[in-house]
Amino acid sequence: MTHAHSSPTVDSLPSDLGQRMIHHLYAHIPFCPVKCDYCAFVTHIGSDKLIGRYIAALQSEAMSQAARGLEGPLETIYLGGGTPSMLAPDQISHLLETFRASFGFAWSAEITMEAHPATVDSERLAGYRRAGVNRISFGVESLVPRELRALGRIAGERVPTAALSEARGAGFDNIAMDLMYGIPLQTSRSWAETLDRMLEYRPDHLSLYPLSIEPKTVFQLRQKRHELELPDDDRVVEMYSMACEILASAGYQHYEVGSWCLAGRQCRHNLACWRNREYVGLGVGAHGYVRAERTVNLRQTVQYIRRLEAGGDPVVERERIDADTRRIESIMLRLRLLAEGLDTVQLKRDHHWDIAQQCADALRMLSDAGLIRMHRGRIYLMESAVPVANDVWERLAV
Amino acid sequence: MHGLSEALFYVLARCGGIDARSSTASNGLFVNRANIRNFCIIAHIDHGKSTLADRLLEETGTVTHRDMTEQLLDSMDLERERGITIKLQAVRMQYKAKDGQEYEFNLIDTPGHVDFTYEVSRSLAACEGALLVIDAAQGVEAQTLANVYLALEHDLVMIPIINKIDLPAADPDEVKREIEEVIGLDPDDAILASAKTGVGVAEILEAVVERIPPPGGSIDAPLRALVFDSHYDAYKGVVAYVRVVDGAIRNGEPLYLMQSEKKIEALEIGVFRPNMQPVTELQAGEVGYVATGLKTVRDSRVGDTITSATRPAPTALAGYLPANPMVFAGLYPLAGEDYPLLRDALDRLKLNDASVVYEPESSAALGFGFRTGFLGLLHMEIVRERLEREYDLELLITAPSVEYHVRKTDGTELKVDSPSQLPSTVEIEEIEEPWVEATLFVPPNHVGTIMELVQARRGSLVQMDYVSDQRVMMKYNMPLSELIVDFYDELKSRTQGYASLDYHFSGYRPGEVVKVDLLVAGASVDALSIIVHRDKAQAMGRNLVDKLREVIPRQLFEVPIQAAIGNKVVARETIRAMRKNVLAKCYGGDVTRKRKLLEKQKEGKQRMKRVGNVEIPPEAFTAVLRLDD
Repeated sequence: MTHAHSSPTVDSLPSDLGQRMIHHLYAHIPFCPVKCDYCAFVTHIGSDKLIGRYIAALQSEAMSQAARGLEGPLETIYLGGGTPSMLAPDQISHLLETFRASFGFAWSAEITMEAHPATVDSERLAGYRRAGVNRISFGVESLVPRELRALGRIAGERVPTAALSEARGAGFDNIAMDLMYGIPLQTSRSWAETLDRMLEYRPDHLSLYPLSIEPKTVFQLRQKRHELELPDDDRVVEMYSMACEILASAGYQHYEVGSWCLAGRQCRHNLACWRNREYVGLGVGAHGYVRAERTVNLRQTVQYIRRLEAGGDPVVERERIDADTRRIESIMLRLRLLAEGLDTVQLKRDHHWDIAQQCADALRMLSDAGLIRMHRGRIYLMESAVPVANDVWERLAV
Repeated sequence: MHGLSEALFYVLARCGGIDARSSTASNGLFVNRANIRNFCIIAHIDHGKSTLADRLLEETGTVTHRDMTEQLLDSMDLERERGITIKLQAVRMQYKAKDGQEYEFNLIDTPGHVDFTYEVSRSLAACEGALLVIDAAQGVEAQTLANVYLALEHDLVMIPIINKIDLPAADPDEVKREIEEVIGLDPDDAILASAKTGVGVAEILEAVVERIPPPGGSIDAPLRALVFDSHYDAYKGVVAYVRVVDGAIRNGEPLYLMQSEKKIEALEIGVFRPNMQPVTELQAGEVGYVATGLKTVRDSRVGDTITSATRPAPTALAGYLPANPMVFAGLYPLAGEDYPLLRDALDRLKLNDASVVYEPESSAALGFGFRTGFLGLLHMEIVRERLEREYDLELLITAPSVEYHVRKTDGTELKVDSPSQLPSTVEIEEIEEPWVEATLFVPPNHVGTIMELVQARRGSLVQMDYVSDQRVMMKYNMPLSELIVDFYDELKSRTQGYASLDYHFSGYRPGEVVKVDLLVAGASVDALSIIVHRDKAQAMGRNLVDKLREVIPRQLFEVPIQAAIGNKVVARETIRAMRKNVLAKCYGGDVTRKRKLLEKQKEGKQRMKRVGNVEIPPEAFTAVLRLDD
């Protein structure tokens, strides 16, 4: 079993608050070849010249965090975006070197990098691997060209799955893929096709997300103008159930509401987030959670760079997470984990919170309705309850 | 802001445009009683009563045109929004007539809606005359007639005014004919006017002087003053609106309420012009106010007689019968912890609106609330809106019911105004329900559809007259319960708004009524039950179940909705389980946002009432009001 699963569950101990040790790092790479119409992440289009300055800024943010007394070793590093594969292998390598120098890496550290299938080739992928990246996550989203166009994504000459074979060839043995459902033009049939073709390549990890319309996106605007045609809720739920079935019979474990993996291939970085661990967040618009404080960095790339070049602090929002909030977040996050569930005994120990007593009525109702299962002191969200998970979390994350 | 009439005074006073002291007469200097005219304006709703009142105020210089505009702009109260008068207003005006003499006019405004007929009769009792306003295009309507009958009961001199003659559709000759044939007044007495353009207003003022008699009564007799309305003022306590019939009230004088048998003191007396202006004395024939210092309106009941504590009158004036609530509904705070606030709010509302009655009740579904009696459905809506606006409460109101008289098999009798109080069928010997006589004015081409409507509501035709080739007057006897649910809306929609309705209580009659219970997820929800005629129970149950399926949102599990009469289920629907709610990615960065989304979702549900495991929105409890027939 994996490191992640067998690690001791020292989650959220009160003594944990304000600790120096930090084991997880997220770095945001905002650069993208184009902005997809549904995307609400911080991205930066068309200014590749900024990449060098941006990397330097990230490095100085990492060093100043280390100088605040944060210590590793890092067990997971996640380069997200944006499109981190806009960075050349040597740029990735420089970044990782700085992170290693600042915090230290555990020998088994998981180092993930997100990549756009259209921006990579065998050589580049091999370069990332040599730079130390050991897990690569491709944002595929769909294998149907007209669906990709409807999402406003670049669909290169090459089929997205080519990148998958190339990554294997480049030595990656931990490959993840992101797909979306409930997108314009999609049908149950085209969705099943995408899944089936994807499975031929046997990715180690799959993240499947229903499209959500985010504020300040092209999609939101089009929705307001009634120019966006989407599959209805019943159809989206059907797509979800279909995916559950297909992936289960292909041997994938559904371990988090939107995540499936082959045995032992959970995303350890995200697992840490869902177990409510603290982590360093670097880069433009990045969120961090350090010493019981959640922070958000400046959201404009140029300003972020300038702030760090001037030796300043990029944080623009801070939220102190008190004991109650930490408990609520823990419950909410851990109930995402379908396979490991919420350990009520641990919750009681760490937060002095007897959920069985505090939420007795809700637990009974949810269990009667078949939305949760309670077994050996753990509460599990049922796979079939994922589409209505908000209603479960809302009742229990109190 | 207190009562709705007070709202007007408040706004006017705040405008600062009215300097009461600049008026020449009064302020303790009395005009000759022969020069006092007390009158009111009666009209069907929308016939222009308030505009005429405004015009009279302006014409007599009581309020300037500028203030009138400001008043309209500033005033945001329910009356303005709904374009109706709910509470009475009393205003004193000075008028210099063509005969060269100075007159004191007391205008008492009256409500125009059928729910408030009771208030109309109160103001009539304080007057000697009435301006009967009739729309030149619409002619005589149901409430015109109802008001005329009331005015006749009080022996008032009526001045018919055909208003809105500037309208292209105005047909004054036809209206004159109706005045003669339907009302029985001399059409030659009618004044043609337009309150909007000002035509005829001067003539109206002269007619008030010439035709309406001055008040009678004796200044030398012991004091008798009729309390015709009251409101609660935070500083002055209960302010009683009075018409002095005999004698005089002097400032600071010890007084006695004959009906309540309470001693009070005139802390301040005064007149409305239109804001409250203190005077030193109010004499026989005058209209004004007495600030009593009493803490509740209940202590100075409307219809009571104020007399002198030192020289009491031997007999009281004929008062009023108390307003009888006709419609009852449960009022519940959306948030259970607001119950004490609701209680206080009702207590304070009662200070201004004595016609509201309430007593605590509890519901398994809704918790603690109050069974509240109203004059009618509009009154119910207004009370609810006032409570929500003025006391910042969020309320849930249950389906309205009438009061049934139940005789049980053991011989005992009880009054039932809530379905949950209805004994089981085997215990009931007989049930009687309230009936009304309804008067409808409808265009002849709609007679058929109206007959159909009223018959479906168990009405029986008493009388039908073609009052003109434009309109037919129909009188029906029908159960009140059939009238309170959605009847008026239906009437309006079937006649494109051309029908008018008035009704009055005509007595109790035996009725074959049963209780329909609504079961949500297998459990009976007391607050959803209704009492309905046996013949309609099944259809009503079916309708309600359909409606509830629409208004109750999908839950996490399947929810069966059933209607049952006794143990027999007569209708069933199922609300399918919810399929999907927003489910977004959640990596590190989204934790705060996700948490806040959940908090928001939870808040959104707080207005829901949880019955068992089912969350029911407040609208569901009045679903019966919005049924399609």
